[in-house]
Amino acid sequence: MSGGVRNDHLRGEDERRKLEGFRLKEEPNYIKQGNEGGIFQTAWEKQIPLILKGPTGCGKTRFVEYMAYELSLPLITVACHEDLTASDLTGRFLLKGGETNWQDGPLTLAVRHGGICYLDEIVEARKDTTVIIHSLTDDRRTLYLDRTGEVIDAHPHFMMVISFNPGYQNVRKELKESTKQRFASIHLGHPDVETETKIIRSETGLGEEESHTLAQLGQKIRNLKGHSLSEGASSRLLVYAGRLMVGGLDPWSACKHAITETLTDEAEMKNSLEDVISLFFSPDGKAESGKRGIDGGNES
Amino acid sequence: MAETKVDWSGKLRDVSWGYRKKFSRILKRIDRNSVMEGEVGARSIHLLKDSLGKILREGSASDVVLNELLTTLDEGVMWMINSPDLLERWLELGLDLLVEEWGLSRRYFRAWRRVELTTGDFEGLEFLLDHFRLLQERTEPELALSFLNSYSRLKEELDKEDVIRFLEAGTRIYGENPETAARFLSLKLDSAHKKLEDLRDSCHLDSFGTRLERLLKGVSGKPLSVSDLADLDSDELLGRGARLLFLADGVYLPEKIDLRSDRDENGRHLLTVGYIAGCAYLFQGFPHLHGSPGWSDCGEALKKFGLTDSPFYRSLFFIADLERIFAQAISHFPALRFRLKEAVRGEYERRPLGSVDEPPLLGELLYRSLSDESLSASREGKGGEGSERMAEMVSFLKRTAGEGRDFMEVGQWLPRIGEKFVQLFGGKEQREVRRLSFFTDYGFHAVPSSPGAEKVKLTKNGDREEREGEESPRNADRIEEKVLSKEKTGVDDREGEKEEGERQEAGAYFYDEWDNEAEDYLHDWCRLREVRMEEVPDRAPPPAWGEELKKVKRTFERLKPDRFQQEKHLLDGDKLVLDEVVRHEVERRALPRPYQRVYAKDFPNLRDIATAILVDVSGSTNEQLEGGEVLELEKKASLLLGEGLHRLGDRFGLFGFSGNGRKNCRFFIYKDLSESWSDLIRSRIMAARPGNSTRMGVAIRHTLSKLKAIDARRKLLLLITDGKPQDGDGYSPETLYAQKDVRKACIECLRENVAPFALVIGREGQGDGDGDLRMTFLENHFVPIENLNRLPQALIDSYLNLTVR
Repeated sequence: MSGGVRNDHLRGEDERRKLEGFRLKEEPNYIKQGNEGGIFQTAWEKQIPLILKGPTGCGKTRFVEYMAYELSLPLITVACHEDLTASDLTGRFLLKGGETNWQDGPLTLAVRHGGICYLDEIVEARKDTTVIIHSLTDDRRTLYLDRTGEVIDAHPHFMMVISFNPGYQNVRKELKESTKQRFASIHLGHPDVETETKIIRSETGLGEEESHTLAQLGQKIRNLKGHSLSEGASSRLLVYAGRLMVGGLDPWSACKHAITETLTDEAEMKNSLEDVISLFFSPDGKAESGKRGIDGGNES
Repeated sequence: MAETKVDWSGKLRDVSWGYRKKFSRILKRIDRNSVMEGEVGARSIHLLKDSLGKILREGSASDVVLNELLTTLDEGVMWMINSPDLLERWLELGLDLLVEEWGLSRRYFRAWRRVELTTGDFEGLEFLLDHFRLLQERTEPELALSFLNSYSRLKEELDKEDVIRFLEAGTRIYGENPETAARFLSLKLDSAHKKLEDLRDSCHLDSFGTRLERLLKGVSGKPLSVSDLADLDSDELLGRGARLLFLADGVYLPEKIDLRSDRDENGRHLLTVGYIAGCAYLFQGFPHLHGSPGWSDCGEALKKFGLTDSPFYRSLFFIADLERIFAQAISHFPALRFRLKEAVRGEYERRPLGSVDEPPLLGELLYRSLSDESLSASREGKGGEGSERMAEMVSFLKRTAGEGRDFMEVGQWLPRIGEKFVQLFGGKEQREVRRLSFFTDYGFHAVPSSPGAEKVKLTKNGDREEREGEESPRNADRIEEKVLSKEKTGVDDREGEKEEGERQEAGAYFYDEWDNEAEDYLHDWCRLREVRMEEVPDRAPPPAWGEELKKVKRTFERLKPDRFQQEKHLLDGDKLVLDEVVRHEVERRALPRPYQRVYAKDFPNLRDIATAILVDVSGSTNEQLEGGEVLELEKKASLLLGEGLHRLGDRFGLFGFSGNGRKNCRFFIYKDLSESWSDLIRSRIMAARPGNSTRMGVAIRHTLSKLKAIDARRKLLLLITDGKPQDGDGYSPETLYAQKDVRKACIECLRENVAPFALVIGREGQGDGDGDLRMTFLENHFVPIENLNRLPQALIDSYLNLTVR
């Protein structure tokens, strides 16, 4: 065997330094909806893996980042897809110079040195890939590397977190029961108006009133879910609208391009979305000012 | 490859010499154009040759007809050869007329030169051909020709929906006077021009219904239906002059809005009404309970407030609640301010104060509270003492009832508001204020049906209209008795149930039914018979569905997976995967057994999905909802999805269910899982008829048994239904027995790895929200279809969401 094998693929300062690169340097902006933080922390303390469920753009990834920061853990995120193989998660041998080095994959890094491994949209990955996490997510908490013959006991600080969007259950893509039942779950829905106002405000720098208006708009648009809209407007889209407004775009245009044009291609549905936006913003580009709450008068 | 040259001389041999040269020139031109279109052109040429031959065989007038045909092709619609299907239909219509009378055929071909279709406007051409044919079938060729001659004018002024309305008006006139109808459609009558104007400027509810329903849902969060006011069969409606109603079950609007001078303005008015209605529900105005038990009109509300029902208090209640709703609307949705003011201004410009029969002071109070003029006038010291008193009254109204959270709080303030009015103006006025063009009438007496009914239809007497085929509780016992009595006498009821075109399979299936209260199954409780639909002639899908059928076919064609899919990570195969080869090479240096799976291979890509589409054909599907008859739309949806699945190559079956008691459950087989899609299947679907009850559980179980009998990696059961499960002998939604049985059946499906999914028509707006649906069909296993017209697309979207996306 030419080149030899470097036997320091298992541990080492360079691995730990690499993992440090996954630590979040700043506290992510996350506004809690309920007690999801407490549940996550308890699950981590008790070494229970978690599923995060919720519609797109509701804050699942941001929540994981926040908890990683709170718990001072590195966070390794893997975006799952159909071509994801077990090696992509566990690691592979690489040639460097004349030597063959084992390179830990993201999952192995987190397991070995303690960190959160976050598999985003797990249903996109193939079933034969996802089963490798089974031994990590039950009482064994071990990872077997068949290439190196190593069995790694998970670091006490290791945690597996996966996410997916239930929505309409796709008959072709679903999480196997044997995988699902190895996890506890948190469902993150769309935040209420007050919480969403804070989110928009903190993410965009918009004023309180405008942020509240956007939050109310989001709630109204979500009422249309099911009417040719498979998902309502996510918090992310509302934040985009807010950022466009801060950037100088008039509110109507900001909502049109951040929300209407993104959510649907159907002309009828666009009309309906614009009808709802018209509750808050005029098509002539002016944001109407008004008081919130009843004050006994129609004038502002 | 198209023929490069057609020898037309043979065909033209019998043509009189005066036309021969002209025809030859045109036919050569057609030849040249068709060559460029390849196979499509070849087919068009073939059609033309065929038609030419048919025309020439007709005899002496054939040259004249041919002249018109070819001239029209030459001068107007040569591009039609790009669509042999449409060309064929165009020619067929002309040839059919030729058989009747050559003059009609000549006029037909000539009229097309005046139609002025844009080159390549296949959609427009298809629309014209469809409606020409329909008009010809329903009336006579003269009318169809009149339509053709006036189409270019109609097209300038009207959109397609309005053209159809114009044709319907002409068809109605035909019923009384065919000659007048022909002149009407030719736009030779003043009434025709008036109708054109009316259609052009007014706004129709069916064009806006879905948009309004969405608006109501968006604003209020409540699923509310939008229906035609004419659905309310009541003299009282006419007597009270109410133009629209916001009731607990939904909004009722006139079919046509023509208050303003043009369509855009009328459309805007309709949307404004939608916003106001949404706010009325959102802010808990009286409409959100109006028409529900105990709240048939504001008179009943007044009694609950401890007041005597009188026109005075009715008016005050109406004014106070409306003012409150407006105030809250403007406060919460500032961008609505202009619309609301516009609505008020429009009302009082059309019908100024003093111009309608209403009490003067209350009438003025209504106006001032909505428009705020009194406040500004009073501040400026204008108007005098009367104006000041009115300003004080308005101000009192706003400070008291105007601050209420809902109409109940308004009601609590009413006695004091009444006292204030008397104090300021010296007495009560005992007439009701006007009916507004943008708000509901609180005084309309609306009595709903009992809870759990499928759709509230209100009548003057408060009687609920029973729909044909519906099983009311008092009928169920009689039916059960009837079924049992047949059993007792030993009469085989199989033949008694059979209808025309049906073949009942021998034998029956027995299924358990879940009794949730007993927490156990009732063994062999239901008897189900399969019924195969025999072919019924002349049951092809209507031509009007043609466009959608084509669209669906194209959509599903594009979704066909690539014929081959590459499988990687193989030990042997046709190609090497570079990444894996690199991996192998690297590991070879480190490990005794490096990674070996470096090959890939192409395998035929087969979608291994089997779907059973189960359609509710119970008696209630005979009902007309907004959008049409339920069963017709179900057939359309089934047909469209069937065409799509056929293109996609997925395995599927199409079934229906109805019944009459637990011992007489019927399961219709339109297409079994093993059958191929064909005209026979299409005919069967079109021949479906509404039955009786909706014993859903047994139908689901039988469908499940069919799916279990075949091998497929994924199995799906799509259920289309318009109502709650219900039948006689205790299968009632009111006790939740029926829903729990259906739920159990759905769980049984999941256990067998069959995914159930229900499309539920028209269940929104009936006050039960999604809770009942979640209980019946399981979370995430249903979608409500609020607008019947959306059913076909919703079925396709659901299927694609569940199996492709």
